[in-house]
Amino acid sequence: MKQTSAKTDSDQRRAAARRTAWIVAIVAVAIYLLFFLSQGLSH
Amino acid sequence: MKAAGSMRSKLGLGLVLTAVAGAAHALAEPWQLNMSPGVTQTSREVYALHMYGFYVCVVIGVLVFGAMIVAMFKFRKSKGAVPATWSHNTVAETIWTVVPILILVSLAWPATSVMVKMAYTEKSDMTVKITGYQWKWGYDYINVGDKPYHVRFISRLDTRSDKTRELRSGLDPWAVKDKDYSGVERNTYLLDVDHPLVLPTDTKIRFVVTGDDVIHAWWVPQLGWKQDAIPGIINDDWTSIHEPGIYRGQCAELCGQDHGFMPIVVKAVPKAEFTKWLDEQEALATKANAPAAPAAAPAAPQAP
Amino acid sequence: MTTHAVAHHDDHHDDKPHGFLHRWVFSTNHKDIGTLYLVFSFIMVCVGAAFSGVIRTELMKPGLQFVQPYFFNEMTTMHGLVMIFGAIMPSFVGLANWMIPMMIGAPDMALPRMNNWSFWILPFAFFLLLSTLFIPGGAPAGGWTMYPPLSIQGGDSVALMVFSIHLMGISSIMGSINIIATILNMRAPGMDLLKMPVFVWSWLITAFLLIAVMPVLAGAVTMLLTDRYFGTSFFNAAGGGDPVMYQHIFWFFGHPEVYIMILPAFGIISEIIPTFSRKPLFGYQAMVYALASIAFLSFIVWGHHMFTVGMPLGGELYFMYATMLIAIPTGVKVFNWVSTMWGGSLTFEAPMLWAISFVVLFTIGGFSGVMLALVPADFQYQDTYFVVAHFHYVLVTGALFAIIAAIYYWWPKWTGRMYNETWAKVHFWWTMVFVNVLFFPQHFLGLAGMPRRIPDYNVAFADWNFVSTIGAYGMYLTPFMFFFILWHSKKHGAPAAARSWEGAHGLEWTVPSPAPFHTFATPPVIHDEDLAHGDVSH
Repeated sequence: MKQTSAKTDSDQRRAAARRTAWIVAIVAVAIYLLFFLSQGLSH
Repeated sequence: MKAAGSMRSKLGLGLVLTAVAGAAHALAEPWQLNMSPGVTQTSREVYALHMYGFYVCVVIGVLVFGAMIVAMFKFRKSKGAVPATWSHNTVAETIWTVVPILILVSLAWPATSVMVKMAYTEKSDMTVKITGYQWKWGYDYINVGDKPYHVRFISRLDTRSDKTRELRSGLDPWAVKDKDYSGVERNTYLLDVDHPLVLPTDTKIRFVVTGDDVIHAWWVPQLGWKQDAIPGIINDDWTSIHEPGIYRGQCAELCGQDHGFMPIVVKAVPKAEFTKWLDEQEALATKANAPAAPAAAPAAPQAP
Repeated sequence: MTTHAVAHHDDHHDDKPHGFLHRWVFSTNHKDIGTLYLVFSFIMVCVGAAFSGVIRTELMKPGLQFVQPYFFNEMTTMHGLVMIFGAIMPSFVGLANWMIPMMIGAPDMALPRMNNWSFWILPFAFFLLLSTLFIPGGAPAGGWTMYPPLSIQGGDSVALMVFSIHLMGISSIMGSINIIATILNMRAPGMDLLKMPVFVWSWLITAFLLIAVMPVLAGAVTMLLTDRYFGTSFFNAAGGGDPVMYQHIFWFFGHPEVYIMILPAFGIISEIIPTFSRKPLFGYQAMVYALASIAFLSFIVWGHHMFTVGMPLGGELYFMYATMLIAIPTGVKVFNWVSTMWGGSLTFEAPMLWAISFVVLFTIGGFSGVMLALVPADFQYQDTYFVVAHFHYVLVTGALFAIIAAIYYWWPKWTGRMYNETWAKVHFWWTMVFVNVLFFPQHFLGLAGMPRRIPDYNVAFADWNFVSTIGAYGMYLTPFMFFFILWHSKKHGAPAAARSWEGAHGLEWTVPSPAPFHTFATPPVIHDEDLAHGDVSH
């Protein structure tokens, strides 16, 4: 993880941040569905 | 039953008993600070474990807080303390990682042994089914030895407590008193019921615990454990009470508006007395020809 | 924070939006949003305290003097939900908003408009939740844990509660997404991960915990909703469901949630103690690894909230051993804080006083935690006032004390003004006395056999309950004291220097006080000696 933030171009950093945000959001939705559906399917 | 095991546990019991020297109260005392050692071997082992855990915490607390206090007085800027620049000490860090592990093992060891004993519900002498209702307890005597029983009753908050606990009843909670097993008047506000659960002493009693509507929890502190009473699930536990007496507890899982008003009263009597009582109840239940008929209260033995 | 306070710094380019609506409702500025979060949580602390006021007043004497038992249960439930989701969590998010961009040299949060949304969902969530007090059937009364079947016996408060928790969850998840993206992508060049302040580390880890567990809570309460309104039987034994399954799912959320409320506090304390000890934090990397270990362990110990549901012996043993393991990294943290003080040059300004009392009283909460981990003893402690005492030591003298410490610590940076040290000391000592009068006797009550969540009790419990209520009344003055001290500082406080505390390190102290509306619009050139942990060998 050395110097991952070293990019000086702030647009580039914002683009990377948006990418990170989408990934994390998708993970959150997946966890929600996993817990809800796993219960639903077990019945 | 288990010769070696009971030898060892008798020794343990003896040690604990000497340690707490007859401090077993059937009720909480005003200003009480600590857990009661209870009236079963299990409850005494639980108490001993609790005290061991407590003293471990006290010792660690004295060391850690002591170090903080020394630091606060010794390294004050107002006394001209010059800050050091170190921020590492491998030896110290290793010690305070390893030593706590050893302490935790020393706690986990007795805890595990008590747990294993508490979980062993087999080879019981009798079985009682406990059912939690909103807001009362149901007791079914299933069997004693090989003999099946059909005694079943409901146990509710006693009328005096029930009237006193009404919002702005104007009645005095301190006035709700009853004689305990030895005949001494004690306050029983919210800790008394119409029909107590009568149990024999020195008998391994297995309980099967369930709930009817929502989750309740059956708890008599003197017996050393509580168990959730859950609809659709049957849990089992056991106890063996050493001293005759009246032991009081309460529902310990939020179960709605009258959660605070469904106490539990266990009346432990000598075996012979219990058998006589149960057979009377069985006769009444059979005579009524309805296995679910509530037991007649007057048959319950009063304090000798 | 207001235009008035920064008026002295005309040299800084200040393009604050004008008008209340534009400044606060449409805000995308991390500092303003941080302020909004903190103000919101202050209001919620007062609301939650009011609920506890009903509880403690009814419990002052045996007998029911003021409220019906059902209303009492509404109060315990709402007190828990409001304090956890409305007070503690949002105030940590507010501190994160204010401090994380300034601590890592970022101009703002990574996604400023989503940041606005994260905050403005919260008032609506709590409007839904608090509105249940005024609907027929009343507020939720099944405890903040919402165990079925009891929780779905309620009236339409069930639906409002579930939707409000959904909204809180969405708010937390969006806030966490923002924090993760900010920390991972917006750090100034040279701000390596292992040079970040511990507060930033603690929030990075906390944000991952939130991402992992808030959806689980959302799933659990959605199942409650469908059980209540659409005839499903997820948790209904009569329909083939399992009420205990709810508890497993809930505590899979709930235990990490406990650490969500304490890890940022660890971060705050790890900032404050080195500053006022004038000595680097002892074992920086160990502190970071300890945070990560605690976070990992939080996912595998949920069963210790459920020792009395009747799990198999093997399951109980596993959860006991795993739970006891948490004492190791937590112990490392406490020992490291003490070692940071050892050999330092200590002064005792208000933030330090709160931090030291945090270490002592949180550790007491940790001790009762270790005792609670011992399953046979837990069979006695479970659902008694011993547990109530335990988690209030962790959450009030733990989390809340750390938040108060943080506000005193960074207040000069936010407002450019110092607070009155004498009044702050009065606030501190008053709180120290009454918080212990309030919560310490609850240990005794629990051990003596008083169950929690009961509106009335046997007279044997009367004395300690009375003492506890006196403590509570003393505590109800503290929000007013705190408000007065901060208001007074804002109006009349002495101007604060950029580096407001002699021993303070970190990028936030390199910008003027009060911090300009926009900081680090261009990434700063980082000198390792400005940082608290610039030397990577620590």
